[in-house]
Amino acid sequence: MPAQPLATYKLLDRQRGEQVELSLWQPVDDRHARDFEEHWRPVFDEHLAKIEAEGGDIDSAVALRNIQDAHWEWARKAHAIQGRLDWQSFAVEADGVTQGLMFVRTQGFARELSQLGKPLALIELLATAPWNRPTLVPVARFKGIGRLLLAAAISLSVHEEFAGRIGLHALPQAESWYRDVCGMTDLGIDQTRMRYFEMTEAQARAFLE
Amino acid sequence: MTDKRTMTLNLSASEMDIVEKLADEKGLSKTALVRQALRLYQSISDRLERGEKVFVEDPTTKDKAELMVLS
Repeated sequence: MPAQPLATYKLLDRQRGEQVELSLWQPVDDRHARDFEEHWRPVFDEHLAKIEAEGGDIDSAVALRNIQDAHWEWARKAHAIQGRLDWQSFAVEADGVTQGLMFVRTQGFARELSQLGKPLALIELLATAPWNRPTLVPVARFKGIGRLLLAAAISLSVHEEFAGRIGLHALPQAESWYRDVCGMTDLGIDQTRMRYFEMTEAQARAFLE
Repeated sequence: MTDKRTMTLNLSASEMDIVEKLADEKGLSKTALVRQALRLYQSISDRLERGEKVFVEDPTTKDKAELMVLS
């Protein structure tokens, strides 16, 4: 684990009404995975229990609250990719608590026609802490954690000489964000039964600007 | 990845031709291409070591061919 973060940023803590320093770490450390279990999962479990108690269409309720990633096993995944050259992981911290997590595979190939076959970075998992989700709390604490992690993936892509190209499968509730806000190309639903998006070099440049 | 080391790689002319062709096609330097190849090799080797099988599939016929790695 490096002693220094990869980068630091200032973001508005919307609950406290003040700028707070956030740090970006690579790779994900035990403490980040522990934060998921100790701080994130109890919130997810509370919402899942409420959904179950309310009855009705559980899948729709889970999607509505934007907690389809509640079951993701970050610790297991972090352990599984140790020593792997084709995986990179990132965590965002504020006040010593993990605010966002991302796993990226640097072994993908582009599908979008203008960059077909060119290498890209594939974001396999990206999530923000539950208190940063407007679907779960009246005022999300930090806005922009996802954007910050996406920028980190683009930077990784540039570092690997992939010219900023990235790809990802989006959860349904995030599709419009990737398409309309991030400007990624929607390549439709593929064999994973999820919608696949790609960012070209030009789109990456525009996103970072 | 900040801790970098340098090595000399001896390739035949035909191997170097392939490295240059692939690097050109993929828009990578030769170093980045070799790093990508190493990742792919490690990824496949890890899967095979775990007892998994790695296949390539023909998109039209759906025929599958098993990928083998020399051990």
